[in-house]
Amino acid sequence: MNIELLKQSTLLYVEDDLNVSGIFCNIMSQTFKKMHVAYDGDDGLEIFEKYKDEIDIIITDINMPKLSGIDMIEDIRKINYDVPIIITSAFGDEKSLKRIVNLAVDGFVNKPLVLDDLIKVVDRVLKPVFYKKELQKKDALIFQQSKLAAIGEMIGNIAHQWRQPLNSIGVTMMKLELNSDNDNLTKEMVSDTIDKTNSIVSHMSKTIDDFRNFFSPTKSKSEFLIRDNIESILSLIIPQLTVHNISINIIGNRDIKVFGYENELKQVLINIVSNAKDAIVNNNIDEDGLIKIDIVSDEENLTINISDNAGGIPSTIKDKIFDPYFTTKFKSQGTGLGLYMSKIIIEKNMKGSLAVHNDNDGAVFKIQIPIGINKGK
Amino acid sequence: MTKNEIKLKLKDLTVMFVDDEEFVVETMKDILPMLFKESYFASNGVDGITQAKNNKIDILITDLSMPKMNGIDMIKKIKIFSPDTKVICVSGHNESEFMEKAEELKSSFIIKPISSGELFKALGEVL
Repeated sequence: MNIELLKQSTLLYVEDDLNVSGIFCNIMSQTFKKMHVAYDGDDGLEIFEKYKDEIDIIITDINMPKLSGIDMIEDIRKINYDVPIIITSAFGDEKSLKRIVNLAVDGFVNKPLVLDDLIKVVDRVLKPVFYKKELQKKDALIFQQSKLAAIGEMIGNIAHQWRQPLNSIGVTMMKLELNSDNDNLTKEMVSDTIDKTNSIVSHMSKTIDDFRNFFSPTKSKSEFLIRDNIESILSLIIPQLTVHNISINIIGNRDIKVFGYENELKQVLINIVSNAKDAIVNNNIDEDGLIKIDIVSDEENLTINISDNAGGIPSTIKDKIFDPYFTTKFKSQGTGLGLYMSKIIIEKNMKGSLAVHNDNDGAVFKIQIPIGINKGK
Repeated sequence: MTKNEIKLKLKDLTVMFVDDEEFVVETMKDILPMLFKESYFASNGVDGITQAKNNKIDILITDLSMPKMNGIDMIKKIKIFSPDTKVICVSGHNESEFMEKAEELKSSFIIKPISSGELFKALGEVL
């Protein structure tokens, strides 16, 4: 039997019969990571209140002099509805059983206790709890990784955005230098150079502000203009698109507002548009690349369709593209987390939907966000 | 070769500068005529080829990532009818795939941002 889970868990053991508890305490204290022992229901309740953050499982007797096991469970369930509880008892009248069932007790072991039986039940009860914990850990890790991937992508964009203005400063300096070499330098030339350089520098400064805003996660939901949101993020990646002859077309009313996480939505858009760009570049399409963003809204939903002309997603991978770690790109380029995270942001955080289908030209990503429901704070 | 020796040689040569960034081309229009006998300018690869067909180009200074036709494809096409044209490529750090191709074409390389030190070093290499 696998007792690994037990070794990682903290037990609250409630038993008034010292003969029983004495024997079991010895064995249990070696089986569990940590054990709290209570000799009555009120005792058990007090210990649970004090250590509720560390107790993973409760094993309790029912018949106890001051506060019965069932009464104790009733009070514990008010504090924590999820902690697994196993009952050990020799008796079982119908009335008590009904109460036990209603209290969402997780297991039952008959007295006199047989150690192996008890451990079997504990193991069964703990398994789903640990599975849930593992999933939570994994989700946190994936979120972290996808954030890093997004940062990597954005650093590439910053490098690209800055190279051009830096080069402009370089040529401006060159002009100054050569004119100085030739003794041609005039006051006008110097002030012209200063003006131009200052203007480039302030543009660069604005760019870095835009990127900084992108990286800070939105702490709370807010109402924002969707088209402004899209355009502000596109301005950061358009230079990359231009290099590959890809044009981008936004259609949609300027006044459409949505209630949600502004920067997270930007992250979703970056992911989808970057994928469209990669698909256009990799598929070497004959005509020029085109990415269309279409914003429409009705009473209930805001819909954003993002379509490209890269030929569509092959049916063999269409079902997998939202899976974590699924990527068609080389290891160095893709993490396989972009679309997975996008789906989580849209569906979990913003209660909308993200789906994909192919049309005649290519892939169409459809983002739907309920307007009304989200507004109710 | 010192900067002055290079400058002296350039006085007898023609140059073409190709870049899709208008500001850079406009500034170069002020700079290159100070150095060369004749200067020509283009804002993309297709334009560059037309200019090279109509004018004898001794030195070609070109950006690599440009719309319509990238620098590498343009250089290859110009080299067919003008094999003696010396080439200096200007490009960004992350365009390593371009860098390898530029090396195959035996051209000199400047990594952005451009500066007079880098430019004269590259000119010294191709002369």
